[in-house]
Amino acid sequence: MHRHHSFIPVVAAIGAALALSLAGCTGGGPSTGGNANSNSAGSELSGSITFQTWSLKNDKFTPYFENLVKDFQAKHPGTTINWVDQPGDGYEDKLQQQAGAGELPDVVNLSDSFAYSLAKAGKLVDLASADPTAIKLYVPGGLAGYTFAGLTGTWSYPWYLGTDLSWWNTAQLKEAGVTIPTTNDEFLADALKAAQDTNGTVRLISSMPDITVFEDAGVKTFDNGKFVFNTDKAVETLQKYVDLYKAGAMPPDALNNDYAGNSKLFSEGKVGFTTSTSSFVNELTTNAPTLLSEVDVTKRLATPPLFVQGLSVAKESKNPALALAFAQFATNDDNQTAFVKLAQGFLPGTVAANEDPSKFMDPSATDLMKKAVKLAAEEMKTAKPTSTLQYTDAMKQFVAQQLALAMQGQLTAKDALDKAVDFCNQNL
Amino acid sequence: MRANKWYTPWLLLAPAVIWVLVFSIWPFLNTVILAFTDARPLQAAAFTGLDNFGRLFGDERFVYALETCAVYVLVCIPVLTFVPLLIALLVNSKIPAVGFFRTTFYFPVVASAVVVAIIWKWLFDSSGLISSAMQALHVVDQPYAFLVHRWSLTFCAIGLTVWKGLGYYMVVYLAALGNVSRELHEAAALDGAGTWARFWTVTVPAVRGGMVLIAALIGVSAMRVFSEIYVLSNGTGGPGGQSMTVVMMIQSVGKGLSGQLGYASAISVILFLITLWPLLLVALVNYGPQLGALREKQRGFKASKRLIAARRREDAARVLASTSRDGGAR
Repeated sequence: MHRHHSFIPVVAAIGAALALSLAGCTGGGPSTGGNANSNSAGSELSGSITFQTWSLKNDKFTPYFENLVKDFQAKHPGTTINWVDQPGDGYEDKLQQQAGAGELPDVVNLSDSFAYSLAKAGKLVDLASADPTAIKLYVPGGLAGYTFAGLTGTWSYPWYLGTDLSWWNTAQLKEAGVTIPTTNDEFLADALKAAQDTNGTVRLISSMPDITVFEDAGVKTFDNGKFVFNTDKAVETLQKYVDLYKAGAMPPDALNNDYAGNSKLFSEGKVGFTTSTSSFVNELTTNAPTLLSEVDVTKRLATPPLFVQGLSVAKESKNPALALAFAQFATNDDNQTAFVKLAQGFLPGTVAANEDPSKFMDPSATDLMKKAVKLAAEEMKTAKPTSTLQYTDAMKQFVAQQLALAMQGQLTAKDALDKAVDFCNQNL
Repeated sequence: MRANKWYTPWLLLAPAVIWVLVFSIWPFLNTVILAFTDARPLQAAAFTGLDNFGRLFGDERFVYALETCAVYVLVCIPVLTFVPLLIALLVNSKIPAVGFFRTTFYFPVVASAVVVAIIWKWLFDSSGLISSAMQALHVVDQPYAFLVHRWSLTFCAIGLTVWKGLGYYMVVYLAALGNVSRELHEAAALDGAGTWARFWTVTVPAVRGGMVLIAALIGVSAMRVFSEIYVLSNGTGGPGGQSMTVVMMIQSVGKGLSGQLGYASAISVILFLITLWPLLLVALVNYGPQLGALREKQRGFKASKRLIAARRREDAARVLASTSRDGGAR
């Protein structure tokens, strides 16, 4: 009998370990965790938190973050900031696992779309109510990127912002006998002319049309909780691209291209135009130095998009006061200015830091980089964040697949858009 | 000597059992459960019955994925079952520098599938080596983009799988060929059998077991193909997603913060059921005679039971008849 009793704790321990492991695997539903304001306001900061960045651990940025942490800890003795960085690939999956397990880092770097999903699941602190004074220090465009329809609050401090510019291969434009266009209609006409006159040697369309192309053409894409980008105007816009593809104005490889495919085609000299952020100069310097002398940059022909990265505070943080304080410290004027000085081509997220672009311009930057940064700073005043956060990656992929079929003539422009809209609405 | 406690074997087994439960059995069961729900990340799941499965067969992406996988299976099984055997026969012969050839054929197996696919992509894109060569030879006027057409993309991926798999299966056959008796070949040659006849009547029967296993393994991996088409099509599955595979679809549907985990799980369950078939086939071929004998034995057992029952009935009837006869006489 006795030996049976001694076995019970062993079985219980194994059972408990198994149950905990299984619970960990399963994850959990939405949480109703704590709040950033749960600590007494104004109390001395202490304890430790985790700060997570996204693909920023490298020779260029590591010293910056190490100093940032050191400065904060020196200012607030008794605090510890554990900085972790996640690789670029699979960041969304990592966030999903962390949030599902209730282990989202206290301060976490999020794009607007990731912040939307996490805020919707109740995983983030509303920073507008956590500190109503501090939120006013940030640029309105950046805050708009983290303010979502149907959710009251602002879910991230804008950290660094970017926008797209137009990049031109002037040698190819010269070969095609066209100059840099100033409107989108002019651009489409030039693309057709270049393809016809050079028998498809000079191609100016570097990417598949996407939902933003329809938005730029004045088509309402999302209305009353439904996707509606299959209007006559949208069909007409898509048809223009189908005709351009048939004329050879777009390389066939573009039909399979992912997000950065257009800039890659440009670097390879396969297209004469692409859109990219001002940091594209760095990519060209590394990957296509011979092309650099022939490259010029101008503002976007359509509404410039706003790409925004922010710092959010996890609702389940065990030290919300410290997390909030660190998020504000990392995104203050001085630290943002120092950061974008390293991340040339991006702009800071606070109003004061944006007042004088020369402060964050690297003096050793090339003329092309200086021009790009200046244009980006000007564009930022009119840049708009992604308007439809309900437009998921799966929808994006399906829409691209249908539009590719339309390009190849396997579907009409109307049928492709109808199918795309149906799919998006079914998967909302 | 002290006797071991009764639970000692269980304790020794526990790590392995826990490992299997946590990392194999539980994820599998969880997938099956999720397949009947509308689970999404960070949201509570609700039971939806067979909705996911019903939706699956109306989803053209799934039909495309099944077609792509079916073509993959139909092409890969014969090619990867026979070509490595022929290569194994070549490198099994005693020729100078045979070790070099064996190593060369095995090289692609060692290379990463993703890296190889990237190189393959350079070869087959519109400005790649193949398209340029075709243009230089005036086969085509304009650059041809192999990777943006459904079947050329699929066959490029199949070519990559075959090229990469040849060496691996060649090694399996080399091991099997080591067991083929030289005397059998000599006897067949003495009987007048040529090379071709000896291949079909001596070599193939001798490696039959390995061949069936290889065919089944190829069938299963062809149904689960992912990296090749994913890299060649930049994760899009080609225009219309028509070259997408079942695993690519699972990844596409289930990934990210807005992933549809329930629907992705339903596709996984269907894929699991499909991949069971080649393995059942192997079991049937390898254990066919034993199964036949077992069936015969069962049949014989049932027949003898029937015979015994019939005899008992006859005996009972006889006893009853004699009893009633005796009673009547009295």
